Amino acid sequence: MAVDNKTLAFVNFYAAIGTLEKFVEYDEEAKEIAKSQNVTVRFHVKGGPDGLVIFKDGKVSVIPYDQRRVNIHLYCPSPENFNKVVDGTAMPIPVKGLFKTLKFMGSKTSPFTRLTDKMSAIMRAKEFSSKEERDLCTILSFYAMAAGICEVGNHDEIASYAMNRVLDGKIVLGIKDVCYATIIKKNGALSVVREGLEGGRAFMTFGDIDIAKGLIDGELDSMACVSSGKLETCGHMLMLENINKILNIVPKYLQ
Amino acid sequence: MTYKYPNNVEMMNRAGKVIPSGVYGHLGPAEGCMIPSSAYPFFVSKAKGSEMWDVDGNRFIDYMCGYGPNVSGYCDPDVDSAALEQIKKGNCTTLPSHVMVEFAELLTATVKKDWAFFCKNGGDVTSFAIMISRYYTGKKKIIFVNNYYHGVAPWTQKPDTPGTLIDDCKNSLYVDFNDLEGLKKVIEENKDDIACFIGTPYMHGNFVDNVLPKEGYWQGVRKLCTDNGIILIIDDIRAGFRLSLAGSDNYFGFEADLITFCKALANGYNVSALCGKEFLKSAASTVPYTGSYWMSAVPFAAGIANINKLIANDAPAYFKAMGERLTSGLLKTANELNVPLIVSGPPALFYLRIADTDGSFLHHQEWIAECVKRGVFITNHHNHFTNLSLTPELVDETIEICSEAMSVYVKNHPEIYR
Repeated sequence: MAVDNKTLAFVNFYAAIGTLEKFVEYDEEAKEIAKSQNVTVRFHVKGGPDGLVIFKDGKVSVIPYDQRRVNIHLYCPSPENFNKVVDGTAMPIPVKGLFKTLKFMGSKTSPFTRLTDKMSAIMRAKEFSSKEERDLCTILSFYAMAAGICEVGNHDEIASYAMNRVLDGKIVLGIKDVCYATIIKKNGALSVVREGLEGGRAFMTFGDIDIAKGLIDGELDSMACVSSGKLETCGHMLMLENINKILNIVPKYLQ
Repeated sequence: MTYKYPNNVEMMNRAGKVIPSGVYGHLGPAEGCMIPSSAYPFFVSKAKGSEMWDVDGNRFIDYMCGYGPNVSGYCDPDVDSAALEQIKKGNCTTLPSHVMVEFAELLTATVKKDWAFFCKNGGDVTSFAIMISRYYTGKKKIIFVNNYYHGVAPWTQKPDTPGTLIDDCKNSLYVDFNDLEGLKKVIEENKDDIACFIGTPYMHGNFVDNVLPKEGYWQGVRKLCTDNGIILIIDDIRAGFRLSLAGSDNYFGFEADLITFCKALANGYNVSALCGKEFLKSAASTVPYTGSYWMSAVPFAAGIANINKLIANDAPAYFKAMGERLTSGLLKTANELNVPLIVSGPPALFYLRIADTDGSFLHHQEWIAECVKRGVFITNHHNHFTNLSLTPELVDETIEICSEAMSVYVKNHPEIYR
């Protein structure tokens, strides 16, 4: 399956960088790095995402650009260019805040670079020094997956067929007793809230964190897990069926 | 006391190691009709009539009937003895047995068509119907009715289905059921490029209340197809022989050009059939289509015995009576408990749903789970099936169990049922 650069740019921004929101909640060192910043950064990608990364009081939020004043305005001439920025092989064009940009992400020791590098290392790790680190990897991957479903569903040509068939409402995903996320279908698009919301129409819950890891890593058969009850599903199954069709496509973007 | 499934779970764990999904396809819990999977058994140890016993020894009154094939009763003595007699004479032989001809004669006379072509599964015959239509008309587009199911071949799927290409779907057109104006518009927009219209006799889609055709709908479809040179295919795989032995097109007062049968054809012996009108027989002869087991004699012998049994017992009337007895009993309990139970579809193939305000089906799934754990095998979002072995006593026992299950469900929701 070919990777579409525009879809990848949205996944990189809202699912990969977006997972910083949770990373700084779960990881103490990340939280400390985030606390050192109070800055609003606009990533403006021509033909791709136009969004904000907001550092405030030790928290991070990644949202669509909403016309607010920003400290840093970064421009990428194409989704492909932005994807190279995310890979660390290109730099965006600073439209506003050149020196702040350099301080924010200009070197390996800059806070944004440290955060993204550390999170990326945890999420890509194959071996872990502790169960806590392994679990953090799973939790972050879970949140990236939930956001990835939305971006892939909204932008990938094939996945959009399934996205269009998802009925309006909330789909709650979770790792039992660990973490939850809610996908919302509204106005013809999917969006994610990184917590479990009330009033869901469909539910998919990994039985425990090890099952979640096995499924997210593709080491377990999801259908077999549904059959054996390790992956619990209930509610409006057609909504879940279409979400799963999108989920099948997510891994090609979230490597 | 509700059922436990330790042996089922153990067997599923074994299955998952050597079989994709453990149990793949529509008989498996991953298909979305067995929710929660913890309420359901996964493997049967034996079945007889309308009952089956799982590998934990739990007994169920079964309203899924193998998702349709069980039409005369599991292990029916008449059908099975015909099959056993044929086994002694030969099954998959170099030349087909003469029973194939006898079966074709009986089937075509029963469903009022001119010829029959035998395969194994429903998808075999729906695919063949499409190929014949395209060959005969020289056109390529297929009109589907939204919420359809005609098997799992790529031409039946959407582009986002794993294993399907966009190109597989580029000749697909979609209309709503009961919408003649919409159909007229689609035909007008694709004039001279439509090979066929394929639909089920009524909408028995999963996850939605089943819908019967409006007065004049099928007659309107028939006329539009005839006027525009479009082959009218009826997929009677699910409903065939349960509404009428003459085919569901006859039941609803119109004539299909091609009609597919499978599930109820031979009481579980593996055979499907495409039946058609004379003008398409030459096309059916020309399109290359065959399979290693398609002329096995045992299913033909079983099919003859089965159809004769259905005729002798006026089966559709019996299915209707049993379906009405069951659904009226369930509705009576629901009314007493103020549960908004909705019954749709023909009584012989009844579909159930407890209405909810949030469109999540959670309440319905909860009630169904309580029924299953007490010994009535029904699924959440699929129509159900009746069969000839279903007795009034079994139906009454079912009502009793489902009513108890509904009481439990109601008790668990004091916030709704005060």
